[in-house]
Amino acid sequence: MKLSWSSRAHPLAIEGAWAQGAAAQQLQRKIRERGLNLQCLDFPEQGLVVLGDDLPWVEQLTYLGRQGQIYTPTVLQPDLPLEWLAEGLARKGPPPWVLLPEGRVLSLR
Amino acid sequence: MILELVEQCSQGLVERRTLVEAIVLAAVAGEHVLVIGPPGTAKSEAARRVARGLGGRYFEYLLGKFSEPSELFGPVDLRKLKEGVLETATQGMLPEAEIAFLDEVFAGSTAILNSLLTLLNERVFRRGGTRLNCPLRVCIGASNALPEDESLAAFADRFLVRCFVEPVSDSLLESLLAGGRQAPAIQPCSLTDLDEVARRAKTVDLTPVVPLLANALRRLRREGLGLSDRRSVRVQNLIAAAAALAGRDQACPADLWPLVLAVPTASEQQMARQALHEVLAESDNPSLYRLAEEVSAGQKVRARRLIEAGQKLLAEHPDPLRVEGLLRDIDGHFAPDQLPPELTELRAQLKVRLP
Repeated sequence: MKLSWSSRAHPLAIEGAWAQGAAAQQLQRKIRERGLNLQCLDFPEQGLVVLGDDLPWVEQLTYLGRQGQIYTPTVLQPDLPLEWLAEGLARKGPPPWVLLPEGRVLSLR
Repeated sequence: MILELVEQCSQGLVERRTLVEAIVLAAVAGEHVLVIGPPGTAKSEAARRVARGLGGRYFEYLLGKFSEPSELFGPVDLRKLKEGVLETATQGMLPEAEIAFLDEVFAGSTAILNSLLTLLNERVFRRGGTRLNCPLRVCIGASNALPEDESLAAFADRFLVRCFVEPVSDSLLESLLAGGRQAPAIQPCSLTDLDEVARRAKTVDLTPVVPLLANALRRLRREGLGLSDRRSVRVQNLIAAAAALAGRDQACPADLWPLVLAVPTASEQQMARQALHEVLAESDNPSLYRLAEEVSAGQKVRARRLIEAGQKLLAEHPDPLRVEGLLRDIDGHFAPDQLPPELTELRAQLKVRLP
């Protein structure tokens, strides 16, 4: 079943970011040039996840916030209770997870 | 005038701008503020700065179990006592203050709290033969926690506005350290300026929002977050003050956000925000936009805050890292398809400033 999303009335605090393609490359370059100590996780074909709050800005970046073990875009919320989601996501890999629209799930461990 | 005052009073006070704005809102509404938070979180500094900014007579006191009423209200007038009259010499004491800060406000004795109750409620000080009309505009009470003792509930209820402060977040420690060494440059305005806005607030027409307010109060009751009848009535003073501070003679849905501030506890305020999110989405205020944003989490007022910050940044030769910080703030708060046109334009202007 496809998960539906709605806008979040109270955006989450930024705790990470997800990017793909040119945006991911630009983000990595900025992090390297500035010597930032951020946790970067590269998922081939799926994009780059960077964890931390003091992130460089790059066009086309999706900022992530965290609720429990699940990172989602700061401005969106999945229309299912977190506990249910966590149960479903556990089948895809160990927590924490990044959950993105279009059903994309990245296990960060 | 008020926006400038808020800006000046908040200089270097990291994460306390909303407290400054709440004190100003309460002062215009003729209501009092209760600030709950751990010691050392700049509660008294925020009050002192607003008092300095408003140019009013200020009284500050740390209450304790052994505080005597005379320490707040003044000693017995010995000259008069010789003549057989019991009067209080109130000069320089709370009954003559225009702005007051009472730390550990619930620690006072019953005698102190009873006199305070009348003073806060009726703006009158009575003791023996002394009966004095008090010029108090706003009293800020502070405490580490809300009282659990039921007997203090009636007293606590006199503080309509509730603010909850936490120590400054980790990411802002550098700003806290830098701000702590800065002396704020405050150009005091006159209390008559405040009184003028307060006078306008009293004449604000609330008719257009009364049905909305009643619905919101019903919604809060359904969620188990009901306000006392007294608070429900008095919250209208805050809404009128918000409208007056926004330059409106007639209140509109954008002015309903102060309702959340009248909800008594931090967790209940959080629940109230969620229960009322549809009503609060309209929130806006050009003078107190940080507070309106924090209270309502409304997109409109959030956009206003970001636009103000962006325009200020563009007026200087901005450091690219600050520009990136603001762009991050915009993108972290608005989905691309929900960016208001003004913010889209600002975002484009900010991007141009990046190398």
